Amino acid sequence: MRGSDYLTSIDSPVTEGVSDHMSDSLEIEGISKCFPRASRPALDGVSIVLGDSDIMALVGESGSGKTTLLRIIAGLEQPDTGTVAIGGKLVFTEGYSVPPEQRHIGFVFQDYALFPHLNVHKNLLYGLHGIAHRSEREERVAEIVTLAGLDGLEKRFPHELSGGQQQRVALARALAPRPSFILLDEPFSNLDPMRKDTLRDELRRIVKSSGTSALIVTHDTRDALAVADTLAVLKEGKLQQVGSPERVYFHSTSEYTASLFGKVNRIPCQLLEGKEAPQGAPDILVRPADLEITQEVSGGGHIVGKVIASNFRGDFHEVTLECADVAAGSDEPTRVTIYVGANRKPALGDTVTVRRSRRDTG
Amino acid sequence: MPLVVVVATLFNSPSEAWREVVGYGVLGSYVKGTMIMLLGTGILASVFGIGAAWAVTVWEFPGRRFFSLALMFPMAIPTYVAAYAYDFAKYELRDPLMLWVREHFGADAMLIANGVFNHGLAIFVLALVLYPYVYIAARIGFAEISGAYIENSRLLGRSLWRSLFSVGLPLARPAIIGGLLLVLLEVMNEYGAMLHYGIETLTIGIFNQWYDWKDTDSAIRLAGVAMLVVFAIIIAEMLLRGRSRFHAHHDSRRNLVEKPKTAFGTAIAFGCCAALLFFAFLLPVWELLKLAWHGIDRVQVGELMRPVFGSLSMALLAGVVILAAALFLAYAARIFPGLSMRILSKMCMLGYALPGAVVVIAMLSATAFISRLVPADSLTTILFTATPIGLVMAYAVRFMTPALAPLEAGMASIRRSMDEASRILGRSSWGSFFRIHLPLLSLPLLGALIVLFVDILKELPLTLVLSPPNVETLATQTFGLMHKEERLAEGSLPALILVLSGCVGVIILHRLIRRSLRA
Repeated sequence: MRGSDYLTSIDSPVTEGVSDHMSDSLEIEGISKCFPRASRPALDGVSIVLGDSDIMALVGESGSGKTTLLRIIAGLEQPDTGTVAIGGKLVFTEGYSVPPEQRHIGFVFQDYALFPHLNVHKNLLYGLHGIAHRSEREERVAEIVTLAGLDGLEKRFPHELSGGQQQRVALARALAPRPSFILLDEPFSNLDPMRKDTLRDELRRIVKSSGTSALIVTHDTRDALAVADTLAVLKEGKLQQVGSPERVYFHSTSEYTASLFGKVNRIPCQLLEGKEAPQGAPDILVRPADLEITQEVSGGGHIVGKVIASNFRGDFHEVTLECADVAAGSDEPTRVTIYVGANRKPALGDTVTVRRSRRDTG
Repeated sequence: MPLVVVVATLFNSPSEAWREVVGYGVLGSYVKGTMIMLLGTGILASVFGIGAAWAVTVWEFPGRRFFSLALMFPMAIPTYVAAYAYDFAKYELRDPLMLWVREHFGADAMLIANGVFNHGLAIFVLALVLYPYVYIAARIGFAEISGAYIENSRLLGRSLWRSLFSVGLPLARPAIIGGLLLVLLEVMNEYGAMLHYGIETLTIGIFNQWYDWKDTDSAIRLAGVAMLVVFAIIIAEMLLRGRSRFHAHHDSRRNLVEKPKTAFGTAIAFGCCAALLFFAFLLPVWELLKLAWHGIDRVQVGELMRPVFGSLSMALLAGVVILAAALFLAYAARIFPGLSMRILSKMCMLGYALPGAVVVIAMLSATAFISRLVPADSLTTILFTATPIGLVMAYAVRFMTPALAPLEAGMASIRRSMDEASRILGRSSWGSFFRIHLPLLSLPLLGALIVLFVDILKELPLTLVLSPPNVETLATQTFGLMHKEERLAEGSLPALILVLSGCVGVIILHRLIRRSLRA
């Protein structure tokens, strides 16, 4: 039995799977921020460590404070309390703040913020004024153009580029001055849904091959799972969980995190574990992917239910069962969602048996 | 600062002269004249402006594209020039009419009729050259309304015409009222035309008291009354706009309506537009040309070059100074957002609402006030006699709005993330200004420069009083020759140059607006 599947109440953020690095790109501690006339703080004691060449996704609903955190790290916003250190150097503590232009970080804005009056080449040159020699600047631009796959686009203006190209230019512009790390604010929100997956993989490739670590803010958990090495979940200004995508997905430490990343079944312990379950045990949260329909009926760990709905989802059917057989004696029938292969779809009204799939995870 | 002096003077105990001004009904006649002109010009300019905008937006008729541009041209004619150009109406229309009235109704009736005629003519002429403010505002208002609203209204069962009246006009109302506000402020400001038609308004009163009676105190008090009227107009505008700020329907850029093509409608639209263009632009320009032709042999090119040079140098000098100040204000408001900066920029915009005569009084009395505190007799000399610094300052007070408003709008259209991206890429805020904001503002900057240029060229009362004695501009020369010396023929040449440069400005602006709409 996997303990972390049980719903447990979490008071303090649980950090798992992040090992200590010799020199971390970014270390923030106890960041709190309350906007004037706001009912609750936008950020409440958030601490995060971003390791070298690590891609971390900061996930949360809108209003969770994730963009505010990003802007605080960049120096565009000042927190009330806490510290921010970049590459081991303190850039913010109470009464001391390094201005954004001296923090030496990259930022990819949600709207990309490409300067409309400058072509791609000049946009990329913009942050390189620290390099004294012209030839060296040009060399760096050529390097970054190749890395980001922008060959042939140097003379174009931002409005002459597709959404994906604009994003690559914004990324390249942020990476060009070799920042300590880069911040990306909702980088996938303006992309064509049809090509989003490709562009997402491309972004990961560019960041990885540049060797720079990155902190990505997104509200789309699918994007976060696909692109990040580490996930950090933020809810109402508080950090909920930090860990690898697999851990956060299958071993969520709270019901909030679990349901944020996808459908989750809440099943009374007795129903799933049979009579072996102790009386008064809490409900269990199980992902649909962790359940399967089976023919055999034996012993505990089985649920028998009637099919009440079946929705075609492309690669699979989302089947909803109503399980009337409630051992715990509650009046409400439990509803369970399962994903079933397209060719094994049960008919409406069928009675089927469900059990946990024997997949070993985490 | 100058305004403070005016307001402070208002609280001093009134002088004997002021009691006379009030007592003998002089104040009453100034206020009455102002009100008649405001009301008449406001109504007539609205009819012209909304009608014209309506016609070129709704109807398809031959020459529609031409008219949509040409109907803005009357804006290029300074009001006082239009007044002189319509001088023929006095002799060819009024005098025979008055004789007829005297024969049939007696001399008293003729005096009344004469006053009515003068007021009517003044209202007609002012409305003819001021209606473009309403016209442009209404066109923008109509253009901003998405066609989807009209389509929706038609799908809900209303006819095209009912839809336009019940949806189109109310939606364009805020824009139209904004245009009307400009017309009324121009009427308040008007000096040359009122003087020409002998209409007693507050602006005329201020100059009368100041110049003819040397009665500074009463002039300042009249300026106070004029300011009250202006504030009343502004407050009325705000109330009328009020909650109905339904601008910005960006999703659908489709045009308002399909164009109904009936022969009758086409004829009416064409006829109205052509008549308006004829009376507002072609006729006055034709009159000026005729006058100029008569006096062509008496014109010396050298004599003409002096005011041209004076006008160009003043407009350029003041235009650049005002733009630089406006740029500074707009950027300061961006990097230090806050209530105080907002109030400061609103205060700077207030000057546009003030009639030129009030600005003159305010400037002069402020200078006199400072001279009293700091015993430096030369201050007046430095500001107004030896150099045009005082005049440039006065222009800045009055024309900060046409410079600041487009720049603020331009700034607002530059996304915040641009500033932030520039900062994060290692540039200071001033570095960002020169590399990002200034290039991105080039279009509104050019537009503001042209508006300023044309406005300053046309400006009369400030220039008349505050320009150093050795500086003559096209405006002051036109006024001097046509009004003071009644040398209409010689005066029509500088007037024509004014009109021509105004037209060029209008065409460039039209292009700029079209370009920025497309971008």
